[in-house]
Amino acid sequence: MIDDDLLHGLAVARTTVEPRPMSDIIRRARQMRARRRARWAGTAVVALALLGTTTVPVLTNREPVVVTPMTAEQKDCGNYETVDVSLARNPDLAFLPPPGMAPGTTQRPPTASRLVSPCPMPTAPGNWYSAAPDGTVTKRLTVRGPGYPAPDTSTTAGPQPETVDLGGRSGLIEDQVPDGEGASGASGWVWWVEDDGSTWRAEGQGMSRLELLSAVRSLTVAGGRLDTSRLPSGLTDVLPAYTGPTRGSGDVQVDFGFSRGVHSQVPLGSRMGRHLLVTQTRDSSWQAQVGARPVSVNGAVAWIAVQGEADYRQVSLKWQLAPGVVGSFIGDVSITQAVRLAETTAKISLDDPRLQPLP
Amino acid sequence: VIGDPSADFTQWYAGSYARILRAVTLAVGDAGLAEEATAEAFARALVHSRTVRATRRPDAWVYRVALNEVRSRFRRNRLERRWIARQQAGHQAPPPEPETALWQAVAQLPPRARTAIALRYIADLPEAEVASAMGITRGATAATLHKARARLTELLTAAGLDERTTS
Repeated sequence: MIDDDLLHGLAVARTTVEPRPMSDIIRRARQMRARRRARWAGTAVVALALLGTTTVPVLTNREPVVVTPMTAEQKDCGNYETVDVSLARNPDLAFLPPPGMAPGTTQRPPTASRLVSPCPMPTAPGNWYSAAPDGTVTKRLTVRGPGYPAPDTSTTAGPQPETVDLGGRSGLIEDQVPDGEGASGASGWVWWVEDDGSTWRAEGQGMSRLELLSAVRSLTVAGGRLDTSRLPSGLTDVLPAYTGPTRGSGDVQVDFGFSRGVHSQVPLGSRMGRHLLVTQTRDSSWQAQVGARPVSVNGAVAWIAVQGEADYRQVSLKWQLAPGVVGSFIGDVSITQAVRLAETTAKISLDDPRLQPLP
Repeated sequence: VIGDPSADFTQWYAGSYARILRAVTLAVGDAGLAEEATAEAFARALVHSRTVRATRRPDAWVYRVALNEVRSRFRRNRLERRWIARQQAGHQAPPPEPETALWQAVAQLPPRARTAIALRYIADLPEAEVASAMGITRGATAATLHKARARLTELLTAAGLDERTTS
């Protein structure tokens, strides 16, 4: 048997690796902080509204928000992680293209994982978008609720959410525009509480702050339900309401990698795999993401996006495999190849040899 | 606001980055992805520096986060995109490490065995920490390491390296 000393020799490097500059690490840490706060920044609004208080504090670096004590569940909302689960317990997610159709051989066994968070994510009953003449989605609004979990405002670092007037309701907004990008690259989130105490969050993509606020102000909630019959301001299309089965968590995904031996070699050493993800869904929010355009997969609407150019080109295709089950293929293939793969992907049995672990 | 990290953090980062990157590279099997995952894990460590400082082995915390980043398809794809964007922006990747016969043999192992070897022998984590980082039981870790060593012996013997590499 190989001895331990020899294996410890793996730690001996023959080249010098300089750490990535500390400034990069700090920059990324700041982004994480900002996103974390953006995700949970509605605490003050939610808590105060539930207490019947009408004043919402203005949040600035100099005036930390007065945080109402949160429940044990709420405290851990941001503490999510991905854990491996058994595909055998999720047979509804076992889909593969027929042998020979996959770009390369499906040599890597699938991995199934579940995103675990103490706070279940509410579904998204509201999904609206606008598109360019060629069908490419340019703006997108997703509204989740009721019951969007109260956020954690205990972190005071980084940009602070701002109080906004939502036409008689108060809310918080946090948005960001990546350097060098205009509204097309912007992301924004608005949290608010309705008079009936229901809590909501809207996410805007490709929308300026003014556009996002205008859209949110035009939303109507009655009896704890979002009115999806009217288009929000500035958006032109609505995704059909989800009618599939409702599963417990809606977040199991199975990754069927095609990558071993078929990695495409991208210049400068990065290798991109080709992957089929099969994911449970409970709403329509997977459709019409900014940058995607509709294509037909077996006569049904699917959504395709192409990122990068030439050597870095990557195609992402999302389509419905079955009610409540979405397929996502990502890889450096042509649009025709991706659509063909989607059209031939079908349910397989769990004893399919392609699902067995590698020897 | 996250300002300058403490001197302790900076020193720890400078001193442990190369070893952690090396272990993650072997576990992941892709140098670019490993670099992104390692950097992401250190950034998380900076965000949670109080928590990390309180752990017995901060390195193990970083390994667990880095491997979790890669295990999640969504996050992995995000790392891959970030890596490509970084290359397009002119980032110079570290020079590739010359691969020894042993390194190549480990690279042929299944992902779980490869990860266990990387964490045990490059990261130098005890088996309990390897189990924690991989999210499996200690017994499963011991079994995985045993099988991996047996398979490595076979691979190296087949390559004619038995006298130098096995005992």
